[in-house]
Amino acid sequence: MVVNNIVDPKDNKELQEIISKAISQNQKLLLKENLELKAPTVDEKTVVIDLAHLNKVIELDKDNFTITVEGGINFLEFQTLLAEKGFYFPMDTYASGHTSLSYNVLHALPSYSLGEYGNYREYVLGIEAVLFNGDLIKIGGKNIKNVSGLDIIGLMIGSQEYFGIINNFTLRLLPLPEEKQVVICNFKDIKTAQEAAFQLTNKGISPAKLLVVNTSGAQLLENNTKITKSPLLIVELEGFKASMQRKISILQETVAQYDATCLIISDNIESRDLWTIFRENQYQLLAKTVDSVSFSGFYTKLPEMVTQLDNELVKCCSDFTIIINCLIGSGMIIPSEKAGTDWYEEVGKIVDKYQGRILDKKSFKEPGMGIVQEKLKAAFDPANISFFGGEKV
Amino acid sequence: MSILKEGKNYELLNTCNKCGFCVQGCSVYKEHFNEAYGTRGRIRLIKAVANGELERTPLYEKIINSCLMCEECSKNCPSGVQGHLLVQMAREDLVREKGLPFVKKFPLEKVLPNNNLRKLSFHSFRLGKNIIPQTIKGINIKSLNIEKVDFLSSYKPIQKPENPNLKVGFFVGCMMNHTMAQVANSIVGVLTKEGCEVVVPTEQRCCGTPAYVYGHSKVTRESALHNLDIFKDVDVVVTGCASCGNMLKSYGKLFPEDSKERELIEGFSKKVRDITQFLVDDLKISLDNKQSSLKGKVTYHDPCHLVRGQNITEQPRKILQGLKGDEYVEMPGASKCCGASGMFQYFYPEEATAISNKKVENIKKTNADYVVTNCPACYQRIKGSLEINKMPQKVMHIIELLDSK
Amino acid sequence: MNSKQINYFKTIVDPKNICTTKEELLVYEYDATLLKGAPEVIVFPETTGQVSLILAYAYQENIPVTTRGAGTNLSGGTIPDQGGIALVLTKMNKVLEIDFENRVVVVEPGTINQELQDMLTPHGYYYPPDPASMKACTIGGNVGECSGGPRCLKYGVTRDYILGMEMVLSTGEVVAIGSKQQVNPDPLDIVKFMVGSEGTLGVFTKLFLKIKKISEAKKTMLCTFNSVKDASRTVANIVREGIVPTTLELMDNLLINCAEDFIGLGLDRTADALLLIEVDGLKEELDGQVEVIKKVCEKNNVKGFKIAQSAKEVDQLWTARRTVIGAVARKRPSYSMQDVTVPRNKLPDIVEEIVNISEKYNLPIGVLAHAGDGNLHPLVLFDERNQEEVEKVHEAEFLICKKALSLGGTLSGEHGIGLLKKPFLDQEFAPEVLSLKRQIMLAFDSGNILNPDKILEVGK
Repeated sequence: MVVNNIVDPKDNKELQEIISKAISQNQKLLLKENLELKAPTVDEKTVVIDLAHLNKVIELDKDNFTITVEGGINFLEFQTLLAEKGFYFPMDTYASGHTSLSYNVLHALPSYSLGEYGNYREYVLGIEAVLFNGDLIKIGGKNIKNVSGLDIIGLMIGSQEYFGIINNFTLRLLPLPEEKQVVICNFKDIKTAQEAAFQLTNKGISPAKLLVVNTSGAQLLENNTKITKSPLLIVELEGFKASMQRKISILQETVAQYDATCLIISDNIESRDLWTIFRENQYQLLAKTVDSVSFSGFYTKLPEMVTQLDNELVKCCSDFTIIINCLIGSGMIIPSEKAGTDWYEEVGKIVDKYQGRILDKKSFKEPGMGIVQEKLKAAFDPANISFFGGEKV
Repeated sequence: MSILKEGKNYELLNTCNKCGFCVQGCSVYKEHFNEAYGTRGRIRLIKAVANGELERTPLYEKIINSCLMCEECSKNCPSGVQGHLLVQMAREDLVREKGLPFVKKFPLEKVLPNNNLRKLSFHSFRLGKNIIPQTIKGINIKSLNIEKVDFLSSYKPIQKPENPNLKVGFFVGCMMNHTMAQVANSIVGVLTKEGCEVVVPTEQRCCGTPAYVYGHSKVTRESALHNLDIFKDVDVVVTGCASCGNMLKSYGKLFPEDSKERELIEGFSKKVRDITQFLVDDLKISLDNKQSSLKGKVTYHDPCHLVRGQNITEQPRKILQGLKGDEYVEMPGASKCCGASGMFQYFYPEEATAISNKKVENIKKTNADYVVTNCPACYQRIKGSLEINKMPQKVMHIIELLDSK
Repeated sequence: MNSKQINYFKTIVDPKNICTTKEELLVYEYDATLLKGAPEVIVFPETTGQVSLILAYAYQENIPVTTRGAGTNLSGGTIPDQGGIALVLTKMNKVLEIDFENRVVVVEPGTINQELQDMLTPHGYYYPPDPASMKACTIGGNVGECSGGPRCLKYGVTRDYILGMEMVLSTGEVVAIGSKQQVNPDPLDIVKFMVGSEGTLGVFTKLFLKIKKISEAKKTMLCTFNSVKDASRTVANIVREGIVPTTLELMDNLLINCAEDFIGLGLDRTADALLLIEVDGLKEELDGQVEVIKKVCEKNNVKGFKIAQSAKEVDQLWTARRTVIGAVARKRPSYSMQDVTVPRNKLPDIVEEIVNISEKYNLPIGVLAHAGDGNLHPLVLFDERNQEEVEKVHEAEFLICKKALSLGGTLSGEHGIGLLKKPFLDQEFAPEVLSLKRQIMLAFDSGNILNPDKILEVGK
C-alpha cells in the first residue's frame, strides 16, 4: 500500500492547521499507527498523521507525581524514561514499543495490568486536544480529583479518533514498586489454568498482571527454553519486599492444587526481557493477521468459556492464540494467519452462550444510544473528517 | 408571639445546616422515604411556621406528630441540633395555638396525672379488653397484661435491711405499676437484697413523659413538682422504666433558667438512676457468683430513652454478660426503636407495625430464646409484636434475670 | 405546570407517590447548600417503567425534571430551581443482586451507600467510594456526582466502580449500557461519562457496581503539626517515598477543636494541623510503611505521632473525621463548604490564601482536606440571616476558587458544579470547551428538561 500523504506536525499549531485544512478540504484523518494495526484502505486524499515529532517531556513534577508530556512520545520509551527516574506508569500493552502515547490512550489499548491498576482514566489528569471541529481545547491539570462539569477527558479516552487527537497529556504517576517478580506456571489444560487464576484473585495478593494463555499463546515466549509448551498462567507480583515471599507461597500453594509447576523469575532484566518478547510477539501476530477479537466474561464462567473457545476454534479454522487478562475477565483471540470471518461468528456464539460480551467491530454503538452518539459525533466532528467515524456511526 | 419565634428557640431552629445526616437513623423516614417525614424536613416546616410562611395545617400536625422522639437524629447530627427537642417545641406550639384534640387532651391532662382516675381507666381497660378484638391498629391488646390490683395499691413495705447503705426511693411509673407488678416487686426485692432501704411513696404521680412529648409540658411541670416533694427524703430515686428515668432526669429544662424551681428540680434529677445504672455504677454489684434466672440465649433491646436519652448501653450488657447460666448475643440494630413510642403506635399504626416488624426480624436473626429490655413500653410492644408474628421468644425485664426466687 | 399535567402523573404512579401539598413542596426546595427553589410536583417512581413514562411525558410537555436521592449534595444540583418535577428515587432502593464471585452488585439508585456496605462487610467485601455522608446518601446520587471520599487516594472515585447501568434518556427511552462484567470490551466508555453528569444526561434506574475485597490489614495514624505547611509537606513527601496511603486527611486547628467538642477523643487542641493517615495491604507490608511515614513526619517537625491501637480507636477517629463538617456548625449558625482541588504541593499556598481571605472578610474559615489528592473543603462560617455577611461569604468563596484555579487547580474535586459553582465555570474553561459541553448536554437531552441549566446554561 502506498501512502503519500503522511504529515508529521512539529508542534501543536501545525497539528491544528492540518486539521483545519482537512475540514476545509474535506479530507479524512487517521493516526499512522493504524496502518500497521488495522491496515485500512487509504486513498491518496487521506491524511495520515505521524506524531513522532511531538515527543517532548514538558515537565516531570516530582512533588505531585505527575508528568506533562507530548502525545507523540513512543509509549515504551516513555515508560523506560520514567523507570529510570523512579516513577511508574502502570499501563502496559502489546503495542507499547510501536505506538505513541496518544494512540494508546485514544484507543484505550488493553493493558495487561488493567484490573490492579484501573484504566487510563485514572491516570490521565489533563489533556490538550485538537478536536475535529478545529478547536484546540485544554482540560484538567495536575489534580487527581476533578468533577468540574462533565468528563470530557473520559469521553476522549478510547474514542478511537472519532472526536479528535489528544496531543498533550498530564498524567498521574505512581512510585516504582520496591520489587517485581514474574511467576510462570505450566498447566495441563487451559481450564485448570483459568480456575487457578480465579482462585488467585481471591487471595489478597493483588498481582499486577495475571494472564492465561493457551498452548499456542505459550509460543509468545518462544525464546525462553525453560518454559514447556502448554497452557500457561503468567503472574507478575509487585509491591513491597516485606510481603513478596508470602505472596509467592500463596501463589505456589494455589497452583499446586491444580498440579501445575512454577518457574519463578526474580531477575529484573530477565523478567523485563520476557515481557519485551511477549509484547513484541503479540504485536507482530496482530500486525500479521490484522484480525483479532476482544471479549469479556464473568470470572465464574471463564474456565468453561475459554476451554470451549480453545477446543472449538481449532476445529473450525486454524491455530489461535488466546490471551486472557484474568484480573478483569477479558480476553483477546488472534488467529495465526488471516482466517476469514467464520471463526469470528463462532467466537460470538460461544461468548454469547456464557453471557460474555464481544467487541462488536461493526459498530461502536451501545444499544439504544445511536441517536445520542450521532449527536455527539456531530458536536466533535461536524465535517466528518475522522477516518473511522464515517464507517462506524 | 409563638414560642417558636422566642429568642433561644428561634436560634435553635436556625442551627440546622440541612446536611441531611439526620435521616440515616430515622425509622419513620425509612418507612416513607419522603423528606417531610425526616428531621431535616420537619425542622424546615417548623421554621416555615415560625416565619409565617406556613399555617399550622392538619398535614403539618400529622408530620410533626409522626416523630417517634427516639432521638436518633439528635445523636447523628454533627452540628448538635437536638431534632427531637425542636419537634417537642413544635408540639408545644401546636398545643398553645390550636389546643389538643380530646383523644389526647383528656388522658394527658386529666387521667395520667390523677392517680385515682388513672387506676379507674386501667381497670376499665382490663375489663373491656376481653370484648374487643385481639389487635387494634397493630397493637396486640390481648397480650397486654393489666394487673387486677396495681403495684402501688397492693404494695406492702418489706423489712429494710440492717444498716442500709442507702435510702432508695422507687419510682415505678404508670406502665410498670399497672402491667408489671411482678417486675416492680422484683426491683424492690433486688434492691433490698443489695442492702438498700427501699421506700415506695404510693402518692407518686405519672412522670409526665406523655404530656411532655405531646407538647403539654404544663402538666409535666406539675408532676415534676409533685414528685420532687414526694421523693425529697431519699438519697437516690431508682426506676425500671427508661422513659420515666429520661423524664425525671431532664425535668430541669421545663423550668426557667435561674428560677428557684429549676435549682430544686435539678437537685432532684441528679438523684435519679436507671436500675441497671444504679446496680452497676453505684452499688457496683458483684456478678461473679450470680446465676441468671434464665437458661438459653439472651439478647437485649436498647430502649430509646435509655440508650440515647440517658447514654446507658454498657450497664445492662455488663449484667447480661456477667450473669452465669445464660448466653448473651447482641442483636443487630439493638438500639433501633421498637415502634411503641407511647401513642405513636395508635396514631401511626402502619409505620409502627413496620418498625416493630424490623425489630422482630432482628430478634429472629439472633436465634435468642429471650429478649431482655428495661422499659415497660418496649416490653409490651415487643411482646405483642412477637406474638403477632408467631415467634417463640419470651420478653423479660432485665431485673427478672437477677431475681432468682 | 397545570392540574391536567399533574393528574396525568397519577395515572403512572400510585397517587400516594405524588405530592403537591405546600408542606411537601417546601421540603424539596433545598439540599445541603443555602440555595432554594421549590418544585411544582414531587413524584416518587417505584419502577424503571414509571420513570420512563414520566420522562416521556415531561419531554412531550417540556417540563423540567430534577432527579434527587437523599439530597445531601453540596452543589445545589438537586434544587428544582426551574420548578417542574422533583423526581425522587428514594423508593427505588432495592439491592437486586450481590454476586461476590464475580465481584458485582446490582442496586437501584435509591440504595443508601452504608446499607450496601453493611451487606458486604460480613462477607469480606466493600464498595470503595465513601463520601462523608455515606450513611445517608444514595448510590444514585453518588454516581450522579462522582463522589469521592477519604479512601479514593488509593482506590479511586465512584467513576472507577461503575460497570454499567440501566438509564432512562430524556425522551423516556430505556437503555442498558455497560454490563455486569469487570470491563467493557468497547473502548469508548459512555458508562463512565455518565458518572458525574449531575442528572443532566439521564436518570439511572439500575447500577452495576464493582466491589472489592477488604484488605487483610490496615494501620491508622494520627499526626499533629505546629503548622499547616509542615503537614502539607509531609503529605507530598510520603508519596515521594513510594507509599500510597488509602487516606491522607488534613484538619486545621479550628476543625480539630470542633471535632473535639463533638466527639471528645483527646485530640491536641493546640495543634495547627492534624493528619489522619491510613495504610492497608498485607500485614507484613504495614510496619515498614508506618516506619517510613513516621520518619517523614519527624523530618517535618511532627508534634505528636500516634498509631491507633484498637478497632474502636480507629472507628472513633473516623467518626470524628466524618462528622467534623457538621460539628463546625456549632461555632456559627451557618456554614458553606467549598470543594476546590489543587496540585498536592500547592496546598500550603492555598491554605495561606484562605487564612488571608478569612482575615480580610473577618469570617472564620476552617480547612478540611483530602490532602493526598489536594482536594480541600474550606468551611466558611457565618449566619445566613445576616445578608451583609452572606455577601461577604460569596466574595470570599469566589476568591478561594480563583486562587485555586491560578494554582492549577479545579473548581470541584468531588461535589460537582450544580448551581453553586456555575457562575465560576468560565473561569476554568475556555468558551470552546463550554460550548462543547453544552452541545454534549443537548445531544443527550435535546429539550433541556433534565436538571436544566445545571452545570452551565444550556438554553434550548
